[in-house]
Amino acid sequence: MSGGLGHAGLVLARAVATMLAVTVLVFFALHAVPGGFESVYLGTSASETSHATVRAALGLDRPLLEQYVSWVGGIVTGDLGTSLLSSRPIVDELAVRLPATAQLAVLATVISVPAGAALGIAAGVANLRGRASGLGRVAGALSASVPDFVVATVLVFVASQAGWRIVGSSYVPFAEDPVGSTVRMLLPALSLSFFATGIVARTTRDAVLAVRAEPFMTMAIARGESTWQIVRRHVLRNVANPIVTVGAVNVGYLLGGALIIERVFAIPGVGEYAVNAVNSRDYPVVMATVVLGAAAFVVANVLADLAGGFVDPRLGARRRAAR
Amino acid sequence: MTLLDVRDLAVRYDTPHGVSQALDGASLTVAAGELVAVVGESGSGKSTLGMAVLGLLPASAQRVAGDLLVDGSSVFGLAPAELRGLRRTRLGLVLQDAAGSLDPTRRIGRQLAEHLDRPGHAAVLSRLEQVRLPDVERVARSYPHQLSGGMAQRVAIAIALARSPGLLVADEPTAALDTEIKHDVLRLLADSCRERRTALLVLTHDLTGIAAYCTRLVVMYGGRVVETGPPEEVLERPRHPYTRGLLHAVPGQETVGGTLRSIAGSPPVLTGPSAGCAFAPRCEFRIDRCGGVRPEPSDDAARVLCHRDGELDAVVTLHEAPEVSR
Ligand SMILES: Nc1ncnc2c1ncn2[C@@H]1O[C@H](COP(=O)(O)OP(=O)(O)OP(=O)(O)O)[C@@H](O)[C@H]1O
Ligand code: SF4
Ligand SMILES: [Mg+2]
Repeated sequence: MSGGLGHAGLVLARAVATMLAVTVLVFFALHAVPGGFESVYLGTSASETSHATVRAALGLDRPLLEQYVSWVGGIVTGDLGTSLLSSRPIVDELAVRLPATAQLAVLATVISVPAGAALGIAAGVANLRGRASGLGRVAGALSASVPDFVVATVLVFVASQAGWRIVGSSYVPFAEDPVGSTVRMLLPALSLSFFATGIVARTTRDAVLAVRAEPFMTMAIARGESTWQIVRRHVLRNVANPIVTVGAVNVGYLLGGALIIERVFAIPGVGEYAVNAVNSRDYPVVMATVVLGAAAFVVANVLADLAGGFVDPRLGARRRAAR
Repeated sequence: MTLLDVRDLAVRYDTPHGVSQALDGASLTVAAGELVAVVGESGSGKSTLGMAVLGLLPASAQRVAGDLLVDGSSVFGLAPAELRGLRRTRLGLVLQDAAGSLDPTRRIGRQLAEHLDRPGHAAVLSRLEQVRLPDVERVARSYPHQLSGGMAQRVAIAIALARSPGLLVADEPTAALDTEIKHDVLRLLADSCRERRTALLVLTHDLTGIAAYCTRLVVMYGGRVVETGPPEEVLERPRHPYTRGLLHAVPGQETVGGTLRSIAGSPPVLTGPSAGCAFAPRCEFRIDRCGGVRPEPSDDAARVLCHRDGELDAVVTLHEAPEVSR
């Protein structure tokens, strides 16, 4: 590895490169769509002259590359552009919606990572003891094959049957009523976390089985440590890294899932915003939300990667040595 | 009561790749405080025997016959909790992969402390000093990957001996170490066990390397113990043809027979109980009976497993072994 760069520098460089690639992809893909941005205003029957006027007003007559550079420049300085529909700065519209989605995603992570890790460790340990790991397989199969909206619908139905009214009622901003907001968010978050829980569970179980093959596990058994002692002393720390990693990867799934879950539960979040933008072809908003989603995913992965060095001292040492 | 009593133990591995008879009627006893070295070529069943002592055979292994008793009770008959108790209080294990034997995510001091009856920083340092580690403060603070193989093995020994077990099983404890360190670690193992009156069962294929540190040698071949005795006796007057061959094969011992002769052929891979003597295909003294009749151990303490035990010394000497056509 080149001198002076270090692991953190490398990770950050990779993250920036990824984000650049995303902006290029989303920008040029959307600008290649026939009809152009202005047709959102004009519809298909408008005349050539009105097209040209609107294009000039939106700056769409400039060379594509110039438009791209000014768009990326705007993002870097915190300007995500203007919504074609509302003519308001996208940043202002996101500021209202971001907290709802962040709350949903954080809650879903808080549910899925511990639940998945617990299921995975239980399945892995059951497997070590020679019992078939039905638990993990059932959880994995369920979460992989049942779509989020089905889970959401079932949960809503069950909650309504149980007379648990509040969970089904409409969204309240966290800032207004933290407790009430969180309680109302539980059902959506639970629906959203279902898939992620399965993924964390499977990753954890595989990690437990891989750790089991290590000599230090044989040594722990040979010392007469109990299953619980072995899990607490040796398994947890050694599977922490894969769990953190899969938790970060899941941010992608959670954001994708939020598109649907926010619809089902009528949560005014970024997902709903993005879906509406796609339906009404509000291209600047589509681009902004895609970039925002990619940024969340990349940031989560950078954090997970850097955390890995702290969780696993070997990894940290290798990275320092490679410097 | 004998500390370890292995009685005609037969163990077979049943895997999708095939069946392998790792132990084929192995017998061995170890008394309290004895330092025993089990020597044999790769595949002779040493590790299987060692793991069986700790009740650590994998699920693919099955006991076909015989028994293995620790403190008089069969490890195969113990309930899981009893077996755990036996391991915790009476048994210890050291493996070849010293660095891999330690949890990579935790500092040495913590790993050692949790196995001390009276944990504490001073106790940890004193245990590390006992295994002759330098700079114990630093070692206690280190992670396993920061130690050399030799240092890691000393730590592993300290942990295994933390509760002064009755018996320590060491499977190739020095095979992965540099030659200069090998003897230091073997001496440390032997001395530490002697101080605690812990019996030691070292499994190795380095016959001459281990001889100086044990009170008894046990030679294994084809899943059976073929000869045992004090090291001087076995080295100077080997009785089993396989032991004789082993000594010829040892580098540095060439002069004994005048020429260096290793044992021709390779050790058997048994898929079932051996019909006769497992060494017969490679034995230059074999007679008709050897291929079809299983030899029984001699009546004396050496328990030599050979049909021709007793007659060989009279008939031939090591120096003039007849060339048997193969
Ligand atoms: N887990 C296993 N599954 C299947 N066969 C096995 C297993 N472990 C050992 N064996 C087989 O059992 C026989 C004895 O193996 P064992 O490991 O006990 O010998 P060893 O004397 O320790 O050899 P080495 O010096 O190579 O460690 C060999 O034929 C080996 O292939
Ligand atoms: S029993 Fe026969 S084949 Fe086996 S070692 Fe003795 S002489 Fe050789
Ligand atoms: Mg072995």
